[in-house]
Amino acid sequence: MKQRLIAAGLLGVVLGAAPAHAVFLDAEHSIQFTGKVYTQASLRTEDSASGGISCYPFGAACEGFTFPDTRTGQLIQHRNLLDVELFHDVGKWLGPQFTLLDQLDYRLRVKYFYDGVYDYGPHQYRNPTSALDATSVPPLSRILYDGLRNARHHDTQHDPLWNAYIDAGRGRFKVRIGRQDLSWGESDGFRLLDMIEPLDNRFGFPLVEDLDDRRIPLWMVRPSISLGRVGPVSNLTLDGYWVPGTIDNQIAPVANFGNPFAVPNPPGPSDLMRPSKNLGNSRGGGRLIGTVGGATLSIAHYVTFNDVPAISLKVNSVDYIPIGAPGSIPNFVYFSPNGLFLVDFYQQQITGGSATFPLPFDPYTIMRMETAFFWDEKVFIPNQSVNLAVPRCGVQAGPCPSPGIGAQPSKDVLRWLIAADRNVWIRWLNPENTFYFSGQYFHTNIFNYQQGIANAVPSHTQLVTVGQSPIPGTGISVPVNANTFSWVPRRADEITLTYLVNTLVWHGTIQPQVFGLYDFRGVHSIVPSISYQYGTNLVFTMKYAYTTGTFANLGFFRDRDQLLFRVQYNLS
Amino acid sequence: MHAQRKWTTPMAVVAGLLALLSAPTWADVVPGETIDKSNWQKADGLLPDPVLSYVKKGDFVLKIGKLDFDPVWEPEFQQASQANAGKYDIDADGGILDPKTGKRPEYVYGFPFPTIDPADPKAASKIAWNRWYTIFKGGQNYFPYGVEWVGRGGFERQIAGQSSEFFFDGRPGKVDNPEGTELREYSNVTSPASVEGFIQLTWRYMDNRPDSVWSYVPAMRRTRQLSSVNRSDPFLGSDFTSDDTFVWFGKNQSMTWKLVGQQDILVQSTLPKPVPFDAGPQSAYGTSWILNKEYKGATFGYETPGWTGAPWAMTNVIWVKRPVWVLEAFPKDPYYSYGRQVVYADRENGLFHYKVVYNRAGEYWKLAFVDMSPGWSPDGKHRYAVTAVQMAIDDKSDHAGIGTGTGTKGNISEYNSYRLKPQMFLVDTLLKWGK
Repeated sequence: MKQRLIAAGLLGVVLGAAPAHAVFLDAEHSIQFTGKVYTQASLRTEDSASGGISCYPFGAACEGFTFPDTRTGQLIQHRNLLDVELFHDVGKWLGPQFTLLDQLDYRLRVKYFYDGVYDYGPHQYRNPTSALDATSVPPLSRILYDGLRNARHHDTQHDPLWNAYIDAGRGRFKVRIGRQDLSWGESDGFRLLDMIEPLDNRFGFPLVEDLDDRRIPLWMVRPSISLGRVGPVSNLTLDGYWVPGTIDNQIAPVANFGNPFAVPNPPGPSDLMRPSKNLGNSRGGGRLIGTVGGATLSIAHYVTFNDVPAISLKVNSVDYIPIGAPGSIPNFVYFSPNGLFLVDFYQQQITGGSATFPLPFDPYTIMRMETAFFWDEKVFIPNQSVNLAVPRCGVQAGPCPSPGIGAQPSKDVLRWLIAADRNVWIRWLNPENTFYFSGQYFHTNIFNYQQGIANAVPSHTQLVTVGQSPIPGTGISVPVNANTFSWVPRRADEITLTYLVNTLVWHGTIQPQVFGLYDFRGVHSIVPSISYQYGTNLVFTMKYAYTTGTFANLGFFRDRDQLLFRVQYNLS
Repeated sequence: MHAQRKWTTPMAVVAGLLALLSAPTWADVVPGETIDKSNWQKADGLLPDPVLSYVKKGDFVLKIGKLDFDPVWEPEFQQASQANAGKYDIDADGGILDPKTGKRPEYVYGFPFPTIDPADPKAASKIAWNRWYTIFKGGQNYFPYGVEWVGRGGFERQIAGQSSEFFFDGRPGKVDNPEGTELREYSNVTSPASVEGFIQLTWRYMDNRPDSVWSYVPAMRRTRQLSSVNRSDPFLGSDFTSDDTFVWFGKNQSMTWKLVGQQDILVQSTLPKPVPFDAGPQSAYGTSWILNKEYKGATFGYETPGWTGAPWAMTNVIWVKRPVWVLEAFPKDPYYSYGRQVVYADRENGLFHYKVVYNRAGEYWKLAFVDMSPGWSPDGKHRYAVTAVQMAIDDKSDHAGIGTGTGTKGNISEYNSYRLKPQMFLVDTLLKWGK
């Protein structure tokens, strides 16, 4: 309640003080204050598929692992965000007598948000205990409970100092030092050359959130040198970055089990292996960018931490647990490798390039192309990543002498994209403005593909009999049952198409938009939205996200359709 | 009934004759008088049709004035212009041609076509080029600006930003131009917060290539190449298009130009004297000329107490008579949003004052115009094409876009600015300044 009061008070202060123009704090217009504040609520528009949670682990064949179970109309997000920036162009401020540098400035950005869903949302989020199924076995209940508690405490961005950097430049050289954002490449939504910064997967439903809100800036040194014209290449620039691993080891946070936007998974313990802070865990890379004729070209190589971690099973002991009434002959023996899944964020080498140019025969159309080769990307192959863990335990039953850990196989993966953007007049529909059309073809190819490569997301589990176990002194045997998972397979070639159409009407105050995505695995998403700008500073937005199709890739979220409302106030 | 009809016709004839007799042979105005909806006839023939209709409706009230100075360019420019006489021609695409080389001259200072022969079929193209060299002579300019959306109900919203231009041709003193660019423009948005940080860089080439445009989009944290040819699309949903800047900011070769007449016309000016510019810091390009902060530019109906006209009308200006060429421009690009455009170009200083825009179906659509408020250094040796306002009025939707320029809303412009160097207009500039 106290947090809410503070947030409401803060909102009142900033709204009351907000002007309708740029806020410069000096006559020279060198110190600028800017920012925004918004409140955003999302409602689920379909019931969760949560059947698997209630029957796991002993159900016959369970599927549907969205937790907590959420019903149509329930609130799943109420984010209140304050985002303020101070930019000081020190060179401009010092005036023309300052000649030491061509550019000297700094920017501070503070971002704070509070999501009320865990305080005043539906009972499942407000009170973890109430989310638990009465039939859940105690260890499972504990995991579920902890998942929700963790979601409450960890689904937030704790560091409010979002950007803090200094720019200094002289002549051809420039460097930016501090916590900053950096994005390379030409793709919208797909991460090829743009996996420099980690994305916050806890931060709402990806299809409806602003990408910029999901980026987590890094502490980095980012030098660039302008090489000018070299042969046929104009605007040639070499830029690079280095994130010292001793300072910043941020990885893409995994949405906690219990987060409304987490990938559905059966409950189970996991160990998130964050890279340690040492120089070996540094990120860095370089890019050469220039223009040739009408085309803007770039080539780049960089090392980063892959947003998608490597998953493998770690077994500490192999247990056989009799299941049945105490003192009686068990119904069956439950074969349970006792362990957890290792969630390992690893360094990833990526090499690629991009090109953008207007079509020679239709300069209204801008083509975008990007390709990136992911060297030795870790892949999940259940036979190796999971099934090898038990034999590596070294014992048939009991504690492992040393933990049995599944393998982390890797493959080279090529990702590429071709896109076209064009503004088109459809005057009978909108005589005021053009329609912006954008289409993307995105392709992922796994080199040396082998059967069994999968996503570390089970589609369902089932209890299967893997043997018989004699009951000492009885002369009878009972089945040995084990849970097996059906993992969602990956294909050698995955293809996704996206489309985006928007326009402006009523003097630019209303923007209707449709974004859609079709995954050749049979997943279709569509996100219609509309925003209305009232005056300079107030923006109302409504978005609906609908996903249907197979349980693969974005289809993991096919039971998460939602309606989003946002009211944003620009502070300058 | 019949009796009434019998008398009606002769009375109408008499009334018509009286009206003819009482009307002046041609409309005219004199400094000091006010033209409004009660006496709009006095300005008939001295205004583009849309402006006259604004006066008839009461949207505009014209305070007729007189300039205390001759709004022509400094002697250095005039002399250079005369020296250019007969040197250049127009090529088949509408570009400037040096007949000696068969190519566009690398550098021209002054009017390339100081003498216009109305009978010359290329006269309109030459006038259009002359206008560009009045802009180019600024060298490198820095403009804080705003764009306001104004409807019948008054002010609606705005964005603010800063624009910088570096001209490689037509500037006082030649500079290296390895990329063959005519001009480069860098523009960024400073408010509101939702679009703050947006940067756009434009390169316009000396030859007939289309412009190159890159932008830095803060929401994506990326530099993007954009299509340069959709210059007639509304700017962020406003009534402005990129080509409406300074009435016309497009590539001359993209239009077919035709001279259709000459006349006198009333244009707006914020002062009867030149807008004062003070000497600023020196740079490799000479003295910077910075707007004197006492100059406040234009005010508008929506902020003027007691004003009953259009909210977008300028309320602190005088209307002065100028001799103009009347041109027609027809887009070569079939996708261009506009159809025929009628442009009024000053016969003495080359500036464009008005553009009357028709849609592709030939219907009148909107009017783009600027005020003529030339900026002078104290000694008058440095004179610049200064506008307090650039405006586009969409008469189909009864709505206006106002570009607030020099002096207006505290915008302090700088000509031949010390801040600007050619290397600031490279793609890596977007990387440097993108947040």
